[in-house]
Amino acid sequence: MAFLFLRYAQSRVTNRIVVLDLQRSFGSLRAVDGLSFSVAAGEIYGLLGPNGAGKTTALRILAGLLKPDGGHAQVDGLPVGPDPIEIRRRIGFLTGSAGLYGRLSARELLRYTASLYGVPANRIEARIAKLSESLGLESLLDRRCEGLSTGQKQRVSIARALVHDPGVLILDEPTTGLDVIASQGLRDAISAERARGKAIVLSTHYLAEAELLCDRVGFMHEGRLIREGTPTSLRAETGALSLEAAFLSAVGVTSSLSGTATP
Amino acid sequence: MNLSRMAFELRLIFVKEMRETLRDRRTLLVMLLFPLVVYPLLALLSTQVTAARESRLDERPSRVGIPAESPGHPAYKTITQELRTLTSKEPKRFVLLENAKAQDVAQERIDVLVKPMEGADARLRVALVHDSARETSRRAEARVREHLEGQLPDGCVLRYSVDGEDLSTDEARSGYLLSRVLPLMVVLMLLLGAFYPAIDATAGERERGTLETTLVMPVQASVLLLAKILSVSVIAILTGLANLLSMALTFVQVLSMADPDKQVPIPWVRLLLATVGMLPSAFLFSSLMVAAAAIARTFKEAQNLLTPLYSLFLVPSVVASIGDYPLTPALAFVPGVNITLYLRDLILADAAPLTTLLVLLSTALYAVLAMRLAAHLWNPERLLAIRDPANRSPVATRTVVEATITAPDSLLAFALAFVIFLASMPLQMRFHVAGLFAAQWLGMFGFVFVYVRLRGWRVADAIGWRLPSVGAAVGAALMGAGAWIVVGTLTEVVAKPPAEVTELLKKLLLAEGDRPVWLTFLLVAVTPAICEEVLFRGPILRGMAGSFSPRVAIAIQAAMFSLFHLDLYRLLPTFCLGLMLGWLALRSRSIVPGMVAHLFNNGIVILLSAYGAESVVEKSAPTHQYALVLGASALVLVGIRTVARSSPRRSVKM
Repeated sequence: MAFLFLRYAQSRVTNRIVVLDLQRSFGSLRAVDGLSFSVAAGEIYGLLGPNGAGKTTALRILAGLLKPDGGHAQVDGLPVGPDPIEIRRRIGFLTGSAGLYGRLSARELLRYTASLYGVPANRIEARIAKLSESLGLESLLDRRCEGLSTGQKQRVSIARALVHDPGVLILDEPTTGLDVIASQGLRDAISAERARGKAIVLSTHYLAEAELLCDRVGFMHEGRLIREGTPTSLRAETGALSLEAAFLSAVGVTSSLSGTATP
Repeated sequence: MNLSRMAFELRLIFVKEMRETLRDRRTLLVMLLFPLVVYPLLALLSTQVTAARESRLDERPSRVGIPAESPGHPAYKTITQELRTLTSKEPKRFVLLENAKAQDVAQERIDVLVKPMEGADARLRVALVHDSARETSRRAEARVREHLEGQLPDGCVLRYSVDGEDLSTDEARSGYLLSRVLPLMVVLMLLLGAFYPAIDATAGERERGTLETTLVMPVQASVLLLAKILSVSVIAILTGLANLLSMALTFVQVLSMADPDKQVPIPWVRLLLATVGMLPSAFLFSSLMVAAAAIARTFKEAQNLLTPLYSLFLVPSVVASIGDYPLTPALAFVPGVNITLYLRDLILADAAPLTTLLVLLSTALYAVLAMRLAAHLWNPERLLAIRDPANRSPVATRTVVEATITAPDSLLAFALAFVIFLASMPLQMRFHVAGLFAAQWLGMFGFVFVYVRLRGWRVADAIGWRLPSVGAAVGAALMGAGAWIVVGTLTEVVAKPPAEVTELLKKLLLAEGDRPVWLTFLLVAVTPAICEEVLFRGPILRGMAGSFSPRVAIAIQAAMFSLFHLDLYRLLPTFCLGLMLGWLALRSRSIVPGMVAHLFNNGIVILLSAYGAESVVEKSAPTHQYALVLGASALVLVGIRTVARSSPRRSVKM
């Protein structure tokens, strides 16, 4: 335990997101059960796991939406818990269901979000212009969000998450429901943010996506992290050909795909 | 956080919410359709109907009556003579009936009675007895008056004057009618105006999948909720205002159409006052509706949840607008009723400053409380734990799946039982014992079983039928044995009921001594202990506990329990009792201890009053009373400890 705290203290300095022995139960169900990981600036960390593994709960704790039962978590140098509002101000949060206010136009939505997140009034228009250029939103800006296609919605949604230029991005299954082209566009946008030095944590159950996007991945199963490493190292470690097979091997499921014996 | 930042955020969110709400077709429909289309349309229709009736009435002759013996005044003979020639000349317009009396007008045998009156001077005074609530009678009066006044030959001295004597009561007058209809319509429209926007701003967010986005914004829940409530209130007020204006204008229009000579001014000042009176009520309704809709999972569920709430205000408002109740200071504290009566008084121009202040202040107070409740319910932990149709996470699903009975079920059970209870009131009045038994065994006990069955729940789960531990039962008995003194004393101190009320209650309990004590005991102690427990500590409490924390659930359930007793002076004692019994049911996880405590509480009161022992308590010296209260409190506390010890703390599982 002392070792863990030492590591925690160390990692606080370099890491934008630090999670240590995080616990959270719902009734008798332990949704997050001793989760630890950290994400550095300029890094994309993928939480991988099946439905119900506890990914969403973990991300919601980081976003200050749920309180942890135990353990520590730190976002952008602030401990999670005492001041959720300040934490929320410093993160960009995105879910698979785009979560746009349908009756507002994209421009109105971005203006609203920017003001609420404290972007100075004189810089809002410039920020919107810049985002819409990089995300290709120019033609959508004055359309109501409810009329946009799923891919367009998700592009507006990522603009919403980025409008206040947060240092930390928390993305909960960001590509759910997107087609191949839209997913690629979104991945490009996320990679661009990494290049700008942001710490990004995302959850997904698409292993292929994690392989394409993430610097490091953690396999989550029943609230715990069972493996962690770069996609390449994990493949090597489990002797599997794909990350998919590596995951199945790690959770102890024999699969005809993996072609390896399970421990 | 500084205030200017909060104000900035409040304004920002408010504008955004308003923009969203106003872009919702449903809201606009309710807000504008009624006032702009429905009233003028109704007015148009009613004037057409009136016009059609007028022409029909024109074809009917007026039945004019004259009394049997005419007094000696010479002029009266002239009048009767004139009337006789008139009726024979114009049989299509007049029919004369002799030997008529004033009752004939009331019983609609004639339309108007031309009655001579003894005047102080030499002139003859003639009364035209008619019933202004009756169209034919009003018309007959007008015709006869016109004729008698018009028939006076030129240059003649007026030898008689015509007095209209109106048999109709005040209530039938149209102005009075407006004072009754308008407040109710305003309350109705405020409620209706808040209804959809409240759901749209809360459950609608969940349904549209924006809930998480909203929750993750860096804004305090109270600021967010206040902005939402304000925007809902504005819509409600606009709806109310549009209705008020449209109704006033339509009314004025109809009046001037009916009587083109009379200028009917638009009562601007009163309209303004009515608007001011609407503000706190709009805020109260909006807060409550937002709070209720915040816990719903879907639009549909929110509708189910808000409808009972809607009736909760509307029904008292209807009652208040029908009955002729004065707006007393006590009634000024009853939400729904107070605003209705206040608006009525405003229209009748007799709103007293004190009651005005009380109405506005009490409503504002309730509104603030409701807003705090809404902010309390709007918390990410709660909202994200509620099963979400758009949320695929099985984690969130599994937590709530166990609680099959939720707040809407509870509200529905309460509403239905309440309606049944009200409907059975005449029965209870008529067949005292049998009616009371039926109301409880059929209306509560039987109802719960039917309700639970229809909803497909297991009866044992829905009412918590489990054998309690011995400790819980004993503790409950101790609590029941002590509670009545504690609660009774509390009532005496806080709100002492007038002696008549106490007497009435005693009479009700003991039925003037001709009922054997065992029957009273069965009727007022055993039966409620079973039936009321099954209803209130059954689906009502358990439903609330499925949606709220145990404390909140117990409090809501106790409030319902006390409301159900329909007795202003027993509100507090029954509420306290409800708290105690609710706690017992959840803590012991069984309905039986509550029954035991209820039985002891009611039973002791009955036995004491039956044997006249309660006067001993009342008349004993103050020190003895203190000792008694202390002793009883100790009894209750020991009871609570016993129950708590014998029931494991671990979780109230519904």
